[in-house]
Amino acid sequence: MTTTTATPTTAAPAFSLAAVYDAIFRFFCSLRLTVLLTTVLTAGCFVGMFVDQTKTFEEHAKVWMNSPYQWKYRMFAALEFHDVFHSWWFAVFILLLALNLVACSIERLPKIWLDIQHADPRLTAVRERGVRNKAQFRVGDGPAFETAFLKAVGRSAKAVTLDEGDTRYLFTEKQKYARLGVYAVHTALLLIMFGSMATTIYGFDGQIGVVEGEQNRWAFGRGPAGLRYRKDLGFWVKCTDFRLKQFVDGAPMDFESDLIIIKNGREMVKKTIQVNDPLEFDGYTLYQSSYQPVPGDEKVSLAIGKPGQPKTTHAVSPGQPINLGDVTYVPLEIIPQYASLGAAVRVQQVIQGQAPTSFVVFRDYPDLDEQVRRGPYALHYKGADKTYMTGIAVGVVPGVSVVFWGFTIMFIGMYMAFFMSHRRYWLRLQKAKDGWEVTVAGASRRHQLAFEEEMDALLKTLEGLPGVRRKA
Amino acid sequence: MGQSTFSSMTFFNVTAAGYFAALFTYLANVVTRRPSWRHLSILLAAGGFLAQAAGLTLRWYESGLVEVAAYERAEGTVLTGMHWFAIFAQHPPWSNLYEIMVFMSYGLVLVLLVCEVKFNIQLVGLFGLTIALTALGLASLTIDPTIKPLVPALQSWWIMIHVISSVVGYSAGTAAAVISLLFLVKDRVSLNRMALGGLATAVGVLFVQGRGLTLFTTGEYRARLMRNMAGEWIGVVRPVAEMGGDMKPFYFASPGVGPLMILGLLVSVAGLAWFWMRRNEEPEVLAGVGRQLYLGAFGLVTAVLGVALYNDLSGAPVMPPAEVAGSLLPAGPWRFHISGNQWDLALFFILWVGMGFVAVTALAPESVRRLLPDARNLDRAAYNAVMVAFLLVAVVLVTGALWAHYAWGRYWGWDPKETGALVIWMVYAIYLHARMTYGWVGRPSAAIAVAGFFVILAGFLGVNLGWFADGLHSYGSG
Repeated sequence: MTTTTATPTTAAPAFSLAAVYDAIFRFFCSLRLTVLLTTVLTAGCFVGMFVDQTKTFEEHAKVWMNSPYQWKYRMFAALEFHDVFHSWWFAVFILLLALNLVACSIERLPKIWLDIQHADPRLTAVRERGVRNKAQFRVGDGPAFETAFLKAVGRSAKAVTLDEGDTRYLFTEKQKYARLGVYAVHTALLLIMFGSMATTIYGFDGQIGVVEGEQNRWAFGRGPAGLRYRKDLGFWVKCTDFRLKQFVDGAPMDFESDLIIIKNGREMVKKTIQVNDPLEFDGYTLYQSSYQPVPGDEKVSLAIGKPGQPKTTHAVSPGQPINLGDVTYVPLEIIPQYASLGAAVRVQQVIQGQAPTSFVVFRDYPDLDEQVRRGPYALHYKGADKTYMTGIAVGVVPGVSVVFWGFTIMFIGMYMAFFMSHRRYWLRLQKAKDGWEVTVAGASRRHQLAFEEEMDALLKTLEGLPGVRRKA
Repeated sequence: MGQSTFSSMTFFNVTAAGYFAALFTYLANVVTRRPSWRHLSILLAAGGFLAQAAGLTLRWYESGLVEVAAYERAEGTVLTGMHWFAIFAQHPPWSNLYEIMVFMSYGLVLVLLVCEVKFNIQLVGLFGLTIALTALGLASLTIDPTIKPLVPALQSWWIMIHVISSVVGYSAGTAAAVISLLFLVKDRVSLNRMALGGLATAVGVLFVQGRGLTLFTTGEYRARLMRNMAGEWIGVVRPVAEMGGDMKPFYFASPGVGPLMILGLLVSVAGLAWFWMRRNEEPEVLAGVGRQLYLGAFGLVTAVLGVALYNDLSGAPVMPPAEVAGSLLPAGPWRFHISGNQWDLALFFILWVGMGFVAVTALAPESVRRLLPDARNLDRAAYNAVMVAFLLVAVVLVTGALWAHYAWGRYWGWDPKETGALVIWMVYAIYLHARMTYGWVGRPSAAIAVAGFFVILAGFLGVNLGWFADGLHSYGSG
């Protein structure tokens, strides 16, 4: 070190606490650390994509334990590859990234804020060297040139000036707040990180199945190591009806459940939930997610009546007879799609003393049986009603509003950072013998090509002023 | 939908013809360097693009008719007014894999036309058209193109913006990779390093497609078999008991491909070693042993692609192992077919195109450089493309999260497709930060952008290539 003793630097002792703090802070300020952490997290994501994350540790361990390479199993177990995204090390790296973001902002934001509020108007020699768009002029009337410059830039009112001896500096800028865009994005990322951390720690993601007409209060969730556990919701979920609408080929079109929430013996909420339309109660959100027929519990609805007379509806399981005294009808099988004529049911007709006959009744053609078959009774198939168990996803997502606010702020920040562009314009006037030596310079952080065109036009305008000569 | 009747498919055929013609006139432009060829090429591509726009519009209309008909039959009512329109418009022409591939080619051509016309960057069109034609080929050759009513989870307005941003975002990412590659050529990066990159890619693709070490232990390249859309069984999926009943495709050895891949891997590794030792040299053209090794590896990749394609197209017989043939497979004879193998072939083809470009550059660098604009402009264009990609992938992630929140009850579930999109976003975040702080403007950032293309491939096609466990996005896979 060759510094003179006169400089008032207070050299810190080699091992002071302040030096340690300083070293830690510097470590976390580094943008190299950002790149490193992001790279590690990216690698972690790839592991999570290749290794099936829906299986439990035991299911994976069965495969890995038999491997002749024990180190693979040990690595798998230690790094929790069965559940990478909830593993200790993934959390550690996300936390480090959060610290990194905060430290970077503490380091840079105050300086930028100061620069936004109190920009240095001087076009120094150093600054001039770093600016690509610049030109020098020989000007007769300095103040008039200044006014013309501000008018050409389009910021006549908001310029900062400074006089130093014979030199006059003028500075103006556009969209200076665009520089805060990056910090808005970083704040948003922090919000998203903390919101999702709250979801992971305090949230619940489970399934509850309720059979039509019954109620249930036990949901199944997935815990550590992918193990399933049962959770008492603290209220009953009752499903009064489940309706499935199907396309003609049997694919589901839409499904919905009528739910009643019962707490302490009282009905609290009544709502029909659909895919994309959930119910919220007591911090829980109940989403329609799936359905599943309860086996052996299917009822065929047949409307039966003498020809020309009103019909009565009978609902029976397939194979169960409908006894009308002289005639007995037995629905045999449900046909979801008969040729291209829609849903149908095959029915057996038994009349005492005659051989049983069977025929098909259609759902979409109510009068067909009466007009075509001309039996003792006319039948119309009104459809089959299966009993279903509705599958409801139960979610507690604390922090979701924080995450969604994060999204909003992120897009505002990205707009500022990518679409706005902070542009700076400098003017330096130096008094010469018969007029002024003027330097004009401009710099933009984004959209360089557009800015170059803007500056070319600006310089052309200035060049055209009376008494102005541009230097080569 | 029959092939002979007029439909959106007619437009897509016109589109493919237009892009194909554009590709050839583009090549003529590269060879003769007459601007009129280039103008013709841009016109042809633009014509194909317009035909595709018309086709997509018509397909939306056709999908609307299918939705309305299905809804009316299921409900037994006739739709009118706003209700009719809501059902009619809910099925955009990008809701199954066939349509996604068609739409992907549309997005790519849009981005490349912008690059050509607005930024005047030549040669981007060559790559853009090739990849767009690959996507169209994947769509038209092999995947079920019929319109089916939407499943309930997809009946959401989020699908519109979610899918559009993913297609345009990934197209911008692809453009950034291509422009960065061109930048590296123009910026006179060492030809040895270019060859190094080409060979490293070859090693990666051959290794992954050979299912890692399986290639060496069995000596076989295994093509996927599955059912074709006519319902005729040319392959089969089986439930894998130990996977808890998941359906997994069968893989069978495609004759002759395995040894070629092993040979290709060995030559590529030898070339890697050779070029690694000479990575700091800057030869005028590729020469010496390295040149033989690089061209050898390129030739072997060509042979791998050719033989695999020949096996598929000629319907080479499949030899199932005895233990599956008896119990799990329906009775044969079994034959290879392109619909079991299309994603593998696409990946080989992309590798082949990349290696071919590096070969041409390494043998005649000045002729390629003369076609390219200033390196600074290329760098800046790549940077802009990455910004667009970064922004749009953020839109994909956010709309995906919102949609998942309302449809599935969780906004994020680390599903392979979700994680894939996040990884792509993080790669571009690394690009932007590295550029800002390391001062990695130019070559290092260009290398990240090129790598980003492979991350897009993994995130977008990895699920279809069977690399990952299936997730909730499985209705988007073939």
